[in-house]
Amino acid sequence: MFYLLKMALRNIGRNKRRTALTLSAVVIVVMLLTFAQSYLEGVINDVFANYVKTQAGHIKIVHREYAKKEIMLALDVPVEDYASIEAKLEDLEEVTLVTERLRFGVMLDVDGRTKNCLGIGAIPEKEHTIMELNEYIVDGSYFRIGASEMLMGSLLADELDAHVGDTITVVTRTAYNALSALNFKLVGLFTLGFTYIDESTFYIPLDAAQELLDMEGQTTEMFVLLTDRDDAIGVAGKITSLLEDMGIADVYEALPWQSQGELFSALSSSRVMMGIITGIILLVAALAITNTMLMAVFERTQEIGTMMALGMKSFQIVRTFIWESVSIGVLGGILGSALGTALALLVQAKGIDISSATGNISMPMGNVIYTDYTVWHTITAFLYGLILTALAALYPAYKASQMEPTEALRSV
Amino acid sequence: MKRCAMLIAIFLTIVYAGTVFARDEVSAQDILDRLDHNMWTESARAKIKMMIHTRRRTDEKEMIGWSEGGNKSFTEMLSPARDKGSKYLKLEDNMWIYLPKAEKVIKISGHMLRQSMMGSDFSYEDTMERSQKLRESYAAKLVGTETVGERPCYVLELEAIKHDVTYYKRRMWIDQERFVGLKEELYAKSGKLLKVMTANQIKTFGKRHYPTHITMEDKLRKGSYTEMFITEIAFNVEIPPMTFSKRNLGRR
Repeated sequence: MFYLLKMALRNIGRNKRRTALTLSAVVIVVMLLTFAQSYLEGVINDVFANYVKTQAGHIKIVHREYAKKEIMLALDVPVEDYASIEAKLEDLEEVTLVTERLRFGVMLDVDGRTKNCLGIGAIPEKEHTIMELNEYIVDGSYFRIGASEMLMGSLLADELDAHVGDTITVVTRTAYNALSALNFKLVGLFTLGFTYIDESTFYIPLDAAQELLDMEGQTTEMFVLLTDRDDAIGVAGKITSLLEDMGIADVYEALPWQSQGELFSALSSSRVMMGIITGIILLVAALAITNTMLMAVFERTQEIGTMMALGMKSFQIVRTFIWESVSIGVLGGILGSALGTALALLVQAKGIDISSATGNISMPMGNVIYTDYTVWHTITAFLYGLILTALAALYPAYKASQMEPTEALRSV
Repeated sequence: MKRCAMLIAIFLTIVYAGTVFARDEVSAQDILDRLDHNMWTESARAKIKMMIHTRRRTDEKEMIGWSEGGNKSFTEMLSPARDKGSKYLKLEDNMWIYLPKAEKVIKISGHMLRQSMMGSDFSYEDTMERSQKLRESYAAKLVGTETVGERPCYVLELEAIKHDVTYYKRRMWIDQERFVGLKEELYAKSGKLLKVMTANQIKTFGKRHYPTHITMEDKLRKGSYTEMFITEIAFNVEIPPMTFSKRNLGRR
């Protein structure tokens, strides 16, 4: 048995160029597979994490009617008296953070330049805890509760030609449809790295938003983060019980991120995409490897004929070829996974800037993608490569074994 | 001689018969004129309380207002604290609103005047209503008589003759004695009912009969209605000219 292996190894070593061809195909495939898995994992986790921070939270508490009207940023179905709900949530140990966000649509007017924007009334310290908003300030300083201060997306400021230090008057209709206006000092500009947020969003303190919109003690949503995001459904159930105890479960609902349509379907389709991409790589890989092997077989017809003439049986020839390909598979797999892992780790540290592509995407995919590498990616890629190579050799090996020795020799 | 008399009789009958048909048109216009005459005032000063009832809460607002001619008015909000100091100046088709919290003047014109004022069922335009002469914008038709709260009324149907009038059609129930509108239905050109106005209380000021408690329902808003109470009113008063100026909007 092992003498065939020794023979296979000698065969491989005999024609370095031919071996190198198949080897490089395997190396590339395994490298790509390792990296692709890390990359896709990175993208998915990136999208997920960002979506949680900016939109869904792990759990959101809203008025039952709000979901239907959320697109219009309705103000007439708010969470009233959120303070008492927040007090109760403090008892749940799985909850790490609770805050309020008051989201409203408004057309900002800066000296005649206008744009439809999303205003978020929020609690500055909490926003910083959620997404380190303070770290993303590119000009000026952070905003403070109790002050009439505004934090604006840098791209939005560009479009409106607004600068740190400017006074911005926000004119809008309150939750009761009355005209209302308040002045804010633009204290800082932020760049989160999500184009769709940076170009249309501004923050003001929650209390200022409540005064502007005649919504004292109210908010459009309560935002909850947990120690473990997988607990969301369970904890949402606990919150619903709390709401029932308070007698308001028929008015408000606790939505775990899994129920928040957009995010969940985005994740599912990402995984499907990942599967498809992997499948395509594998298909191309299989074709490439089979191709080079076939080439090898046809090139070696004489050699095979000689072997047969010298008494080698068909099954022995098949086995030899399989040993050859397995060896190449192992070697290529090791090399490929090493390279792929190195590349994945590099991108995990440095990231790839895709800001030119994210311009129009309304998904919270950052402008710089980092891979999310796990050892499993290397192992999977290596195994795939090995199995693929071994299988790819079957057809050529079979063809080889079916040759008539006399014909084979004749092609001398 | 007898033939002559008969001819004259026939002639008079025909003439008389003709006037029977003419009577309706003239009558409606007549009613409209008398209504305008009753409601129209060269100038006025009034204190008004507004109660805005929505499904979620009831708001009470107090204001004081001056108006002159058909197209000048100035209103200042007195309460609640949230609104105190807000001022509204209307000249022709333009309105300037001063919002004290932002120390800012906002201009509203044209179609935007049809938006809700202070979140009530009245639009900015509606509140200037009383000073318009209906006959200038509408052609009237008398369609019958009805009783509204024990008061016999003429029922008039008005259709806009001017271009771009907010309420293309109006149905009005006008008190036959006092020539004041007791109920009004306001329609869009499509025939859709937009608003319903009801006069709950009429007070007499000399020869004038003026509504001092009105309820307005915006039919496009679910479950809301607004009550306007005129707590004080004086007609044809002297108003300082600077009242209707942008300077009067300034901070105080």
